[in-house]
Amino acid sequence: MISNATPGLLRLCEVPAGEIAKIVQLLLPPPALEYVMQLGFVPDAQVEVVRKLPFRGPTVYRVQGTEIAIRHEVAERIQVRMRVSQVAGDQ
Amino acid sequence: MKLSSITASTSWHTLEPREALSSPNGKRTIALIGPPNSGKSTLFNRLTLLTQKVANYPGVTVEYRTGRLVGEIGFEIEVVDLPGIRGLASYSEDEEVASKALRGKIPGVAKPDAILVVLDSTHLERHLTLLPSVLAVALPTLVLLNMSDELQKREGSIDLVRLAGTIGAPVALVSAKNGAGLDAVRVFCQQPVFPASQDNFPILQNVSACHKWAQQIRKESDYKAPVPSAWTKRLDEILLHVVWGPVVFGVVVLTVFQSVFSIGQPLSNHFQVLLDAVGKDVFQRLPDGWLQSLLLNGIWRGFSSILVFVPQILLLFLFIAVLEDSGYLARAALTADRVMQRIGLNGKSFVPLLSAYACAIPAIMATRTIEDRRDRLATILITPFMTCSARLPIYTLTIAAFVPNTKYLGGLFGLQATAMLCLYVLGFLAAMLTAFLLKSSILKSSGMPFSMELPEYRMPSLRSLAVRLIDRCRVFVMNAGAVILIVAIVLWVLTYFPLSSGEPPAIQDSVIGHLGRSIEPFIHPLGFNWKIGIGLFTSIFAREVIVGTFGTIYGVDPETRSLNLQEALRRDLSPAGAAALVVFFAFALQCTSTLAVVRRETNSWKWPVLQFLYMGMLAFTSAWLTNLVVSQLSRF
Repeated sequence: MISNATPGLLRLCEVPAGEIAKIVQLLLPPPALEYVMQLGFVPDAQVEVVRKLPFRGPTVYRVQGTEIAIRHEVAERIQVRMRVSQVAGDQ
Repeated sequence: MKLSSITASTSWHTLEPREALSSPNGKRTIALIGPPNSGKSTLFNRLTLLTQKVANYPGVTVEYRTGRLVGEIGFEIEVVDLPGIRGLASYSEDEEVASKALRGKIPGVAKPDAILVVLDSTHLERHLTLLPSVLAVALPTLVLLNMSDELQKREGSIDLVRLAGTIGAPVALVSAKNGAGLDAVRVFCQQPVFPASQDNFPILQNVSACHKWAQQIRKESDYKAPVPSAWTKRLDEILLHVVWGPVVFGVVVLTVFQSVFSIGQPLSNHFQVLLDAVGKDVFQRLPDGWLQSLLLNGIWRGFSSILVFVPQILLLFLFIAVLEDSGYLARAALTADRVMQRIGLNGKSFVPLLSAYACAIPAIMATRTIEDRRDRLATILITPFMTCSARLPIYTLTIAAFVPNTKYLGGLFGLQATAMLCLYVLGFLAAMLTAFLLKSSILKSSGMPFSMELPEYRMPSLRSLAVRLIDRCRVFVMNAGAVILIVAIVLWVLTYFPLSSGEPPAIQDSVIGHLGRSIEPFIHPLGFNWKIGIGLFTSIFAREVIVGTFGTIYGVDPETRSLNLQEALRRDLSPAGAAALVVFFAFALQCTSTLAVVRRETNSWKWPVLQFLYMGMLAFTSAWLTNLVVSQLSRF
């Protein structure tokens, strides 16, 4: 489950439903990057994978207390780190 | 601060009591701004009731609404509702327009004197990220934390005094849904002099900085986020379930489709009968002559051709409003997304496309839920390909005349029904192909990824539903009506002249009749004669008109007078010509109301003209090929 040869890093699309991950960096071109960041997918933000739709459809994430769905192709380009101890942080 | 202080949210936290209000000179303009899903529109409707006007910003498709603040004393306060945005950078047309509007840089739109920012109090941290860029505009600003009822119900809380202190602007907790706390808006707007705004607000350079700031503010103001709604979690387990999700989706979609078809369509038909009766009753009191004819056959007919869509629009928008306000529409879009992605669109295009099977007009208006401009435009452009109910009269007539009523499998499948189904599929395929072409050429994705915020499920409020429905209908009748009226008058002139001994001519001798005859050489390869030609002209108005035109033409022709319409058609059309005729109608944009609505929704003549030409050429070529192929086949 390790991608891009960087140890400890996962792609957001690889995080299973129900788990929480922390965003490390976003590998997106500028306009899309700003847009996704506006949605709350910023470095250091905690993202909970709420629900995956079938056939590589969009996935629902909880960011800053809101459920937001983005497509698989975007989640592929977001690098995250999963916490060893699943603490919900300071929410 | 605990719950008790939230219920007292109408109290004014940071503004000192002022002396008796005196009316400042002239009127004030207040801009209303907020992120999508902040309840901004509901708030705007609540503040301005039905005083709203809709306009487009010059040169762009972004629409804005203005309305008068109701219940104020003394002077006029105009509220301008800006598009829902997450930031003030220029990543989208909406953001650019909102940013310019706040700074008074849009010609013809007054610079606001103050700003109302609407944020959802149940998603405060994420919504706070909009605030830095708004405060940096340095206008007097009131921050409204909306959905106080929800926050309270789900046990969230916030210290308003500390929040106001840290951001340096007055704050009020309100509920647009039940009206709680809205006095604060009136008090703020009516102050004789606005308190000086904090003009040294730090300009945060990027999105990350805004998020850090929001996090900081959240901590400092003791914000306790509401517990996630248990209902939402439970419902989503079913509605987004791998199996049940699509099942429920299918049921909802079929219900909407079936209702618009089997309730809306008859309603519209009855309404048409009523409108015709009213028109005749009123205008036949006038003396016979051109004036009566112009009023009745020109203006009233044009006007009622628009009014007749109102029941269907009302019904479809009632469904969409209920689905949207309850929160299901977001889930439906998500469910449909994977399929729509194949043709380059996204899940939000699904509902408009489906409603287009009933009528393209409400469907085109329903594309407003699509945020991406290019996706919205592509959806608008393919919508008229879906088989709308106005195509049914000519389809039914032609199929009944030319396709034998053979049944298969013990009457379960009929040849006529199969022919009808083929026409539906034909329209659908043309729509998909066109979408694909558009999305891979002139309407390539803007690079903004698809996203969908899933709001908590809520009970839609009747009041907000009613205001939205009335508003939609008003906008539709006012805007599309003007265009239709002009077209109706032009068509009337074409059928009323030239006068023969002071009397209007029979339709085949009128200008439009001559036009129909003059194009006979062009439509001959399609298998059509001049009578069909006249029908093609009159049906530019609306597709169903062609059947009435045939009725008139064959009715005045002594040779066909005794025949019914089906027999008359069989005399004039070969089977190949008949196939070409229905194919022509499957593709051609024979509907001035659609053109008017596309013009209105895209704020330009470019798109409706392009759409008309494209669909017309496709219709002509396909009808020609159909005639060619079918007539070759029938030789064997």
